[in-house]
Parts: sequence; structure tokens; C-alpha cells
Amino acid sequence: MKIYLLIAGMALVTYIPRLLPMVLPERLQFPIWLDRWLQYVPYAALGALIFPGVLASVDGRQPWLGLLGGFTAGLLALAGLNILIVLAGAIAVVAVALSII
Amino acid sequence: MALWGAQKEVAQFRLGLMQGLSIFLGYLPAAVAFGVLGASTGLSYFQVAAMSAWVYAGASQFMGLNLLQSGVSVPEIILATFVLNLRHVLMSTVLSKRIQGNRALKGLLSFGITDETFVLTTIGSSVGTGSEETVREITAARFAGVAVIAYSGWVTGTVFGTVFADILPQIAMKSMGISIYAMFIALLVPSMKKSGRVAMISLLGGALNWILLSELKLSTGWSVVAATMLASACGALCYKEGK
Repeated sequence: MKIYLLIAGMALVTYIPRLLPMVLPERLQFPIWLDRWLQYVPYAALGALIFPGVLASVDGRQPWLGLLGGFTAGLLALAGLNILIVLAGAIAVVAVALSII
Repeated sequence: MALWGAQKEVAQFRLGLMQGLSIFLGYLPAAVAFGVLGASTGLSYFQVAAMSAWVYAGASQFMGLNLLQSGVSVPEIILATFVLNLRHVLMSTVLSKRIQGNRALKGLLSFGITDETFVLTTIGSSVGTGSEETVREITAARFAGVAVIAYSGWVTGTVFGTVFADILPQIAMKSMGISIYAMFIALLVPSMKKSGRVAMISLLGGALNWILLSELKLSTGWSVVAATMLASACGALCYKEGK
């Protein structure tokens, strides 16, 4: 019972922050400075989500593995490859590195 | 006309499914890890799966299990979860301006907001279509497609992890840990190539997050929010004119 209460409570407090801004009155007009600010949020978030998280993504004690995978992804993306190929390439390089060490 | 409209919706939904495939693949290893951990903490398979299906927030779920094991009370865990998920207010605010649709639909779609679906739908221009139009506007159908496939990756991964905890090869699991980041980087590189200001803001976001984490010892949730808000504010201040 306790576990289900926990799950229900966690579900509720996770959904509310997702839900509220979406159902605010449609006509709510933001000041221009706020609109301009919000416009850059995705790019700023992307940077913050990547770094430094990528360092611990494979093994928290061996940040170079995450760095290696990140660099591989960067090179493949730079070459303009499809996102799934970028993914597969990064995983493959990290897997090879892991099996060598 | 109505039929044409419906076809367009279906096409957008399919596009979302395709774009979200990278999130699906990225979520699998993390979800499997959660399933393995959940099963090992004495929760039933159903409870572990229910947590992924209903809470649907990776970091919160790992934290919840962790606190539960250390004997923290249920209300305290719920409060901690709430704090950790406040960052979704910011993402939901940005998305609410871009997604079209009535309020009920948007409310339903908001369940699918995660860090990953947020950045993929707001930035994911070069993925699949490459057309500029998709950058600014996010159709409800495309967001639904991304959300559905991401969600199914999280839930099926969890179930898989609870059931097959022992048979998964370690190297495969560990190396797949890079996949979410590879997806992020695949989104970042084309947008950086396209615009110097975007590149600066992203780099600033990463640098600030690093400083906040290592110097101020903020928790990951808060640090990502603070770094995001600071870096995007800098962007708004530094680049007054332009689009």
C-alpha cells in the first residue's frame, strides 16, 4: 500500500509542473523580453543537459569513455549523418573501448 | 478538406515517431537499469513498471528508489520529487507557446514532456525533414508521435529490465549509456553550424551548469534549470535585434 501511495504521489507532483503552463489561459500575452528569453531556452538547456553529464554517461569513474563517445557523436554529426547513425557510431566506439580495457 | 487535414495529422504523427526513435533507443538502457534496480529493491515487477508508466521521469524514479531504500518517509520523497521536476515548468512554458491545439489536448500532451522530448521537438529541425518551418512550430501530432515512442521506450525498457535482469551483457548496457548524449550532440551540432549565437548560448549553458555543479554543489535538477535560465537570459540580452 505504501508503495502505491508513493507512486501516486510522485506521479501527481511530476504531472503538475508539466501540465500547468500548458493549460494557462490561451490569451495570456507575455512581454516581449520574456518571449525573447524563452526563445533561447532550448539551446541553453541542450548545452546544460550535455555537459558535464556526458562525462559520467558510460562510467562515472572513467570520464574519458563518455568524452570519447561524445567526440565520436560530434564528428559523425558534423559529417551530416542521420541521428540514428550518430547514435550507433557512438555506441559502437564506446563498446570497442570497453572491450579493449 | 477534412480528409486532407487528417492525412496531414497522420503524416506529422509518423514524422514524430521517426524523430523520436533516437529517444526510444536512448531510453532503453536507462529504463532497463531502472527495472533491474527496482526489482532488486524488493518492489514487485508490477510496482516497478507502474512507476515508469505513471511517474515517467527517469531522474525522479532513481532518486525515489534510492530514498526509499535509505528509509526516507513517503511524503518527503514526494516533496523531493516535486522539487526535482519543477524544471518542467520552464519547458512546458516554452512548449505551450509553440504547440497549437486546444487546452485539453495540450494538457494531455504535457504528460509527454521530458528533457529529451523537449529539446528534440524544439530544436529537432535537421532530423528527418530539414525544413525551417518545423523549427518554429510544433504540431500537436508531431509532438504526440515523439512522446508516444519515447514513452514506450521507457516503459518497455523497464519491464524488460525487471524480467531479464541477469541475462544482459554488461558491455552492451554500459556502452548504450552514451546514446542519450549522442542524440543531444546530434541535435546540437547542426544548430551550432547554423548560428553562432546559438552555439554561444549552448556552450554557455554547459559551462554554467558545470560551474554550478562543481563550485556551488547544486543538485543536478536545480543546476540544469539555473544554467538554462542564465544562459538563455544572456542570449536575450546580448542579441537584442534579429529573429
